[in-house]
Amino acid sequence: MTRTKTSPLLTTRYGVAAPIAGDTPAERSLQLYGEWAEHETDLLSGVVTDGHYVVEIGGDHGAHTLWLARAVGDTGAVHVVEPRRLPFQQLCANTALNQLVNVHTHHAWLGASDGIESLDGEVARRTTLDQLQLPALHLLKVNIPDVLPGLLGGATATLRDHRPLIYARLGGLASAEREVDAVKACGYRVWSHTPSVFNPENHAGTARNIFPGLLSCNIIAAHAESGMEFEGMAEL
Amino acid sequence: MYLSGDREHPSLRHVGSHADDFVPWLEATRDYLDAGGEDGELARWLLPSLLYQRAAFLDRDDATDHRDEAVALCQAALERCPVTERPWWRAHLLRAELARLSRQSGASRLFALRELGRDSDDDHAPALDAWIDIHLAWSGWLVGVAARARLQLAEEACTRLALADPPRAAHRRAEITLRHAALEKGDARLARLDHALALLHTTDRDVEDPSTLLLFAECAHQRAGLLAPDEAAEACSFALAHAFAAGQHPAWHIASLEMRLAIQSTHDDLSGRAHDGAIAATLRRELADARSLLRTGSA
Repeated sequence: MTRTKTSPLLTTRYGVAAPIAGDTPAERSLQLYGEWAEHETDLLSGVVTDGHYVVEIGGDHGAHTLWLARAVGDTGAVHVVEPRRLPFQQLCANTALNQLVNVHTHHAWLGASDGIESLDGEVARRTTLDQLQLPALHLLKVNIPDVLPGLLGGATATLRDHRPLIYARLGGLASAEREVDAVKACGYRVWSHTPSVFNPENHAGTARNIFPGLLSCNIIAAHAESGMEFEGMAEL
Repeated sequence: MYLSGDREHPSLRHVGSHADDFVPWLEATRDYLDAGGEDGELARWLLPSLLYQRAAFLDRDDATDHRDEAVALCQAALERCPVTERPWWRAHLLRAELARLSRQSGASRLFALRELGRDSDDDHAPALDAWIDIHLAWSGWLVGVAARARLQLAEEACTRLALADPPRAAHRRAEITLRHAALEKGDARLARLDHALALLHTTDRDVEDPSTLLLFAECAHQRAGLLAPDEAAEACSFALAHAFAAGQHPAWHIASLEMRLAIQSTHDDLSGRAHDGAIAATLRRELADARSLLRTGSA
């Protein structure tokens, strides 16, 4: 067993986080700015409120889970599904450190059917969103790119019963059309959300931009019969 | 810089776009902060508004300092003021808090809004009026059902405000209805706009108040976009008359010109209307002239 040198806890915008050693964009952002993809929570602050149920796919070290847990309050719940072992452990640590009693963590991959999913040399249990059997769902937030088609394939009953908003990061040039089509096939209207990755008003007050010129390519989608529209955003 | 409203608790209206506009006012109010009598009271009342309105034109750190000072001044005043003044300072504090949280990211702002408490904590008209500002601002940061729910809370605050000040409540309800209309389409939107106009007609006391006149103009202008050409032209005429009247007050001159130009453009675009664009061109020139008189930078 190896053990890296102990580092102090990170102070992030919405709570403390266990030290992070990696160099993914989320990890670098949390280390330098004390936040990650803050413009996403900016948009979602207009739709998430007390009592809401949220499912987050991909833990991102709890960067948004910490905010979502407070936003939905004691009467709401946040279910976070993280298939990778170490990020899952980090997510659990941050959930515990911040005493988030309304957060439920799931070490699993959400796909179209039950089974086993192979990820970076490890295996994860694969299940479906429908099998979570949630009493309500207001927002499905997908942080892992290119998982929408499979995820939605296992979410037929949940989407039919609850019609949650869907917020997702697109996978890129090769998969964006397939992902957007998968959402539309569920009866949703889809809008593009492309915030800059760098937030000049970041929590740490750091002026240095380590994501120069970079935009996130995300979508927000509402069921066509919900009557919800996102004015000022391009509908896809 | 213009004062309006209640003589002892006036509202400050800044027309311009530069932080330096506030400097002489800030210097004057700070000079009188410890003075007795009406001068001292007016200085203490105006300083928070000057600070948080100026903050909109400053960089992040200076803006934060200004807003924090505005909130601190209101909190201190609220603690030591006579009981009769408490509703006014409570309203002042709520607006200073609103100005402070408005600059936060949406996610942080949500928590700050919750920390303000609830309008049911207040009973007096000035504070309820400030709560309506909060609900309206909050609804503007929300989408769909959540925005409508927040407007409903604003309406409920209006109902309580009406017990103390019916004309003011009608004015505020018209504002809320206008915001409701923006969330609707077609006939539902038209019905909301009709209702807003009907509410404004009940605010006899404020019939010459520029903000009410502009609200009339805004309602009528929005209605024009939903009506057949002949009715739309009539609505535009009504809107233009009210926007023009609002502009007779210097504090509202530029806002009036902006509104008149927008209405004139709608009118000129109506099908079957021959026009040469001369009126709109004149309004553009007048607006440019008026704006050119504003300060454009540090001396």
